Amino acid sequence: MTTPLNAVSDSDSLDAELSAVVAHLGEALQRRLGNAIEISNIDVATLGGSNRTVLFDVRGAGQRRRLVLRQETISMAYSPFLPSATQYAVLSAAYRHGMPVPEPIFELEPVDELGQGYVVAAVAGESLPKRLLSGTQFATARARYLKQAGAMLAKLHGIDVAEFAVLETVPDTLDALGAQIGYYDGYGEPHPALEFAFRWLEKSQPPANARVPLHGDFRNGNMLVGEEGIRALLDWECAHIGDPLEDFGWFCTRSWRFGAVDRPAGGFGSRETLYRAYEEAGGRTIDREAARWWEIFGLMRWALYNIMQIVGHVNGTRRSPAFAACGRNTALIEYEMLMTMAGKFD
Amino acid sequence: MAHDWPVLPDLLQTVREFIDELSPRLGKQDRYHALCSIYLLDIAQRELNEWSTTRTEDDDRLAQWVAGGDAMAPQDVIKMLCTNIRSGQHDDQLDQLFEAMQAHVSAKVRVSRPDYLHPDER
Repeated sequence: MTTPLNAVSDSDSLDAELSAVVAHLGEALQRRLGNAIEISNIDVATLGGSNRTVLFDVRGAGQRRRLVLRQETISMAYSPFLPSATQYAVLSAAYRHGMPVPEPIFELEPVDELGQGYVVAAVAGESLPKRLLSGTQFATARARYLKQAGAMLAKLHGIDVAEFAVLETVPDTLDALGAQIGYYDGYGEPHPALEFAFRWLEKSQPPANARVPLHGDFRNGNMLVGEEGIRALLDWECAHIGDPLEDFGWFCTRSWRFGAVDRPAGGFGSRETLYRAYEEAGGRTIDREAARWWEIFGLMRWALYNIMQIVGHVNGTRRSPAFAACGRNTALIEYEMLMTMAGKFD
Repeated sequence: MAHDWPVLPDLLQTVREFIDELSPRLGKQDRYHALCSIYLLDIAQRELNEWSTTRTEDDDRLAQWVAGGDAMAPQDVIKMLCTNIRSGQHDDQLDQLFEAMQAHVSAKVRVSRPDYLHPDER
């Protein structure tokens, strides 16, 4: 039996639900690290579409560490996101192979009464894209970003896919385009522009490339950055196996430039800078033309993710003004997609 | 015009729910204004229920792509058009369809966020 935990909140706004989470979390930590530990400095980073992220300090047994709980709060039909257990397996494999990812600490078990999720080490840094693109303190990081991002992708894509066997049955692994059409059909909101995109993509699909482990959400916003450069690659819930160009296409879509539309590679610079960094770090030669197809694919996919959010709102799974806005923002992404197809947007 | 989800009544309902949730945490004066805002949203919701839908230019444009589309509700035209595109019925007219899709999406953007349109289209 575990002893009551001394959980100290720095916020008065911790609601009852979060208090219960913190209490269970404390017990989960005591089971693994001993009764003498206590947690403090609790902070809820986000309550995203399907995850709760709780940061906290754990102290005891002569050590103090900042950790992060990633807890699955909502399970939705036709979700493109990996279950927590698969995410943890992927994160662990990436960590074993020296990828800059948060150290996996433990996976939640039924006895923890916290549902699905896991705990990892916290990494300090900034992830907000606009701050990274304009903050004067990040000038050095900006200059290094694409070289580091290219090298990071070369390293990930170079890992044997057998290390990510848990991803072999993921829909996006089996058929990248077919998986998106499957999600779309499940959401049930008809979008003629996306139907057009499916036909366009089917008819112009480049030949299959190598099969490599993909991050799946490799973009500005999913990396923690310090003044010296990128520290950690986060958010592996879209990982799958596929064409290496898919990660490049996603990274360079117009939506992930955060207003810096004349710098296609995440708002940091040119595609060519990113491609060369990848090739110089040992990655395969990039087919520049085929990579553009994956950018259109990425815009279509991002439109679908927004539809997923509005479906959760409309069916009452979780309602919020932000999710409602996602529904109407889908048109903006469709617009970017069509303008890119037409060659009017780069 | 048939816009994307949420439908217009749900847009109002979303704001109403948020204000409702926020109200208990507000000070006395702001809580009163929040109540007034809910009252106004409810009026708008009721008035909206009395509205009859009007066909827009975009509805007419999309209806041309569907047999009998002129007599169909805009949402039904969109559903049918999606089915037809998926079945390959318009594969020999993809250039024209692309133009129609651009016009349709621009019409949606004009309502969602007009400043997002290319300057030539505003």
